[in-house]
Amino acid sequence: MKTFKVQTISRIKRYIPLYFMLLPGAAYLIINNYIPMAGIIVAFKKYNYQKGIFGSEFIGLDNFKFLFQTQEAWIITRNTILYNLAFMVIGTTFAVAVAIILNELNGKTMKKVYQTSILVPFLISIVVVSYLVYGFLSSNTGFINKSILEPLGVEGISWYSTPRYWPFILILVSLWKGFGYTSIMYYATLVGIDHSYYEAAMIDGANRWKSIWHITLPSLRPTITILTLMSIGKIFYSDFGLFYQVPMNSGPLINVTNTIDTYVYRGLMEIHNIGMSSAAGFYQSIVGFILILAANFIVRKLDSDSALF
Amino acid sequence: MRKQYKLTTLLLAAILLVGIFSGCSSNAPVATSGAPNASQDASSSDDTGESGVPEQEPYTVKIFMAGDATTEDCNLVAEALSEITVEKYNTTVQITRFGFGTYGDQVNLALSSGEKMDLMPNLGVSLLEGAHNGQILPLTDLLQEYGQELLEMITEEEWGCVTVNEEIYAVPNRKEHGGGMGYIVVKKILDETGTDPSTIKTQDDMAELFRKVKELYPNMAPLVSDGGSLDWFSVQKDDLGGDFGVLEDCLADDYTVVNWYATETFYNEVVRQYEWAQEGLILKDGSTNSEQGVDLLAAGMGFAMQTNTKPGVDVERELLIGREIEVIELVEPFAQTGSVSGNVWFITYNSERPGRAMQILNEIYVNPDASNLVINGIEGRHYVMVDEALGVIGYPEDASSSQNGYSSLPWAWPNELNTYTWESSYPDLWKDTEEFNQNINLSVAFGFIWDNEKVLSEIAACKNVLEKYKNALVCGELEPDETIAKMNEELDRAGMQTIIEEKQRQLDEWLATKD
Amino acid sequence: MVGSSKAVQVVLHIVMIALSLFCLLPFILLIVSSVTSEQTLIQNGYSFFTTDIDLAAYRYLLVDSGTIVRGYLISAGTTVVGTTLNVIVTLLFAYALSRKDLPGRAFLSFFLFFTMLFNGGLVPSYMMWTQVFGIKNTFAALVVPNLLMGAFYVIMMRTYFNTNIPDAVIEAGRIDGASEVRILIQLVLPMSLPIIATIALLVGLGYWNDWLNGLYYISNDRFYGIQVILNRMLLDTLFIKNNASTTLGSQLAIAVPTTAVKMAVATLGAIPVLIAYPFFQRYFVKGITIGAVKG
Repeated sequence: MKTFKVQTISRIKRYIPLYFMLLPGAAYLIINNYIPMAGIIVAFKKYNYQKGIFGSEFIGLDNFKFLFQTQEAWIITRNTILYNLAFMVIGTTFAVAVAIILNELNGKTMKKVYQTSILVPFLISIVVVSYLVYGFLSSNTGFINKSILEPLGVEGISWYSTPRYWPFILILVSLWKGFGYTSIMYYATLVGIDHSYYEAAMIDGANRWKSIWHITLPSLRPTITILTLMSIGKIFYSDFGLFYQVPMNSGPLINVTNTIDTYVYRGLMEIHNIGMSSAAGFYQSIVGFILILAANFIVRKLDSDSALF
Repeated sequence: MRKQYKLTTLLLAAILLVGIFSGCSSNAPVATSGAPNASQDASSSDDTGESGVPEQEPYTVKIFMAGDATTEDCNLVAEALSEITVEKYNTTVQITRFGFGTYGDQVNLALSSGEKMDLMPNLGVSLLEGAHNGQILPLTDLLQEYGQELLEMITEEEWGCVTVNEEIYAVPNRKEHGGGMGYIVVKKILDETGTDPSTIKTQDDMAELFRKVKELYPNMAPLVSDGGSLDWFSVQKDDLGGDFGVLEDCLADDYTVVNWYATETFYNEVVRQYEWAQEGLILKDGSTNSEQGVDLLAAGMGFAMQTNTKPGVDVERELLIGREIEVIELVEPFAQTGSVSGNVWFITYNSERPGRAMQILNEIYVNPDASNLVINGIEGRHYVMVDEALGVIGYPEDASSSQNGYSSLPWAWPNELNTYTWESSYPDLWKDTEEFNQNINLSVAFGFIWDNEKVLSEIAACKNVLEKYKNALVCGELEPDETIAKMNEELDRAGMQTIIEEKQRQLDEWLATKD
Repeated sequence: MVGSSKAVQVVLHIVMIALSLFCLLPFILLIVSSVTSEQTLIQNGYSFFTTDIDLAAYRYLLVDSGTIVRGYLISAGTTVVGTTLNVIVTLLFAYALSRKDLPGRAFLSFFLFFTMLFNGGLVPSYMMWTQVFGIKNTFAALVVPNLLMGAFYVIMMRTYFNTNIPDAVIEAGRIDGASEVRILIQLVLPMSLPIIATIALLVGLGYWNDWLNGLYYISNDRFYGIQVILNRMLLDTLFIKNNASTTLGSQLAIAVPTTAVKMAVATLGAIPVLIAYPFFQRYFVKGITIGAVKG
């Protein structure tokens, strides 16, 4: 009979290899992420290069003021949140659908072709994407105005001066660029599903849709949940390239394309105030953090497998 | 990945971990509280380079410059320059260059992490900011000790333009100090309309010209925007350091700071642009045009573009457009503080021997050999003499203008006026520029420096509002009455009046000291 | 896969073809524009059908072909080394984290995830790597900062392990007396090929596309990867555009890359991946089907 002490020791001994596996990653995180995190205090300081981060004057929340003082603050927050919600819902649905389709398809070569094709947009940098979009939407020489509307006898639209189209355009561009990447991740999970489940279902007389509903989707649930949780953490962030470059920084569109990131950039572009930009970053982080804690808590109650932590 | 642009934006949030790493790092910046390390050099130096063997210890001055250049070429130039500086000051020079698109990020990174650097131009770091947050050193004392020639060659008023809190913080570049406003037009088309450019004096004259051009070329918009903006106005306004609040007519004896966007003048300019756009004289949707004006003109997609005017602007642009052009000046050149403080050189706070840096800066400024090295590169490799007597140079046989390994940016270095001229330009360019500077009209607020520290939030908010309307307005795309009113309403809500009041207060204070 | 009607298959194929075209057409536009003459581009915009073929953009870029070739080699090397290291570190971490009985699991997951939320900014990391570890202007600078392990992929892998590796398998191994390492290598790994392949692919793409490490940590142009070279050109163009009407901008009277060159830049950056991908696909597909069958 082993004593408790021996049991504990042997328990720990058993897990030691696992802890060793954690070592490289943990060391890296500490070096690359945690120690540098001290830099966050700059958000609360009036930074002076000669005094350094700890010597600079502490000014509390002063650096945060510019984010809240004006009308703009409400607009940019609203924009950032709404776009991210749209990306989450539409993006996830689309990517899952594509992953399922890929999974259901026969034909190895064709599948290869599809997989390669849908990844292409991911490879193109957002700056170049903005040129391509311009190629389609430019009022003088754009593909849509010149090669589609003109032949139909419809007058060209000034795309870059008409705000109301842009939520759709931006969501479409974001979808185009990202769905291949995301569906591949879902696809990997699907591919790993044990075939015997499907066979058992077939024997039980289930049809295609029922299998998908009862086997495929549930197996994706953890992945979907995790990815969604992570998106929630990033809800105050935005892809700068998408919201600044793609609309070509066009004035009339700013009310519908201004996000927290672009607002900070526009406002501080010539000012270079480190404390203020750091404060903006902190603001985005802390909101995301609180939301994730809340969301993760809920998820943990419902389905602890899918929780982030 | 998504993170890329976020990181770039966050780059402005440069953070220094000196506190944690000063123990580990041997590169910790010298912890000065603003006073230069003059004493360190004073004790170990003899002359300031006037004569023979210096008594100073060896040291390397690192120049952090912008513009495309390969590492190899920078090293070659630095070596050649070092031959001069070692002899005089026992100092070697290192040059690192980054392209404009990335220079700002790079230099801020280097400054934040306390890397070795001594000299830099004012790109990515602004004079005011740098002075306030300690990125750059005050130079008044250093100039006295090591920069006598600089003090002699640069006027009192010009030093005033780079003085913050009674300390000089930068050395202004020797180049044209000011400019006017005008249009660049394609000569061939101009001739076709039969117009004599000297008869054009006002914007209305230009409008007439544009109409004639439109008749000849109905499918071409005569006036094109430059990367989406038509931002040169036909008035002599002093921007008083930027960030909103201007003197409408800077040569008049009126010191009232106003919101440019609420003035009658601005309104009239915009109305004119709007009317022009209605007539089809301006490129449609000019504000979203992503091409540069010179490219459009080169491709035959336009007749005219706006420009600032100064000696040599015609040859400069002609080179890019590839067609013969004519410059029509509408606004006489004038100079404001920004004309001088727009291109300057700093000594960075993390320079270990600022005195040395000043010596090298002085050398580049006054010595044509040094100047030619840093600006044009090495003879034979980066350029060849075309006319020795006139000091004209050209590209070597086998190199093309865009790829010779060391891009030549005369205006960005301390002194372009004592260097060679390129054959694409003309030999008397620098002479004309000197004259230009002598005779130029100074704004009444010349020498005033604006300190925006107290109104940063308001500026950020106002900038965001301005971005929504400005380009579209000046390109004539939005209805002026409605839009200008709306814009100013938003600007006021964003804190415009606060900015104006602050600026007026500072201007009044400065005026008081002048008298 | 598990027997579906031909009609459904046809429909699905049509859907995927449409999606593929949707993804590829802009890219084709990109390539076509890069070989169109600048004049045509400015006058007529981008078009799929161009009569005016002009390789000027490529000639401009490839004048210094030595740099470009070296750029490709550096990028390739970085990608291979970086991906390998990353996958190993990620795999080890994710596997350990996936074991539900691991003491301290919740804390470790939080420890991992927190790094995704809070970021001290570029400069502290920069100082850490350059001053404490001295990697500036070395090959390590391209591989190590920021990219060597990311919480995102660790979490993806951990989720996969939890979903697709039944506890029974591990229990069985344990009962058989196998050590943790053996369980990992002999039981878990073969079942995880899909996720490993996927993460390797995505990480590899991340390394290939990354130009920030090269931008910040390298000042010696011998170490520039292809994306750094190409993106710097684009950034210069953007800079000039954003400063067009300022005095600074008007002085930047430098001939900037033309529209065609911008397109060529993008093409050059993406084409190698598209060429390489089908080859790697073979291994992925193989690994995926093996994993599926064995499971």
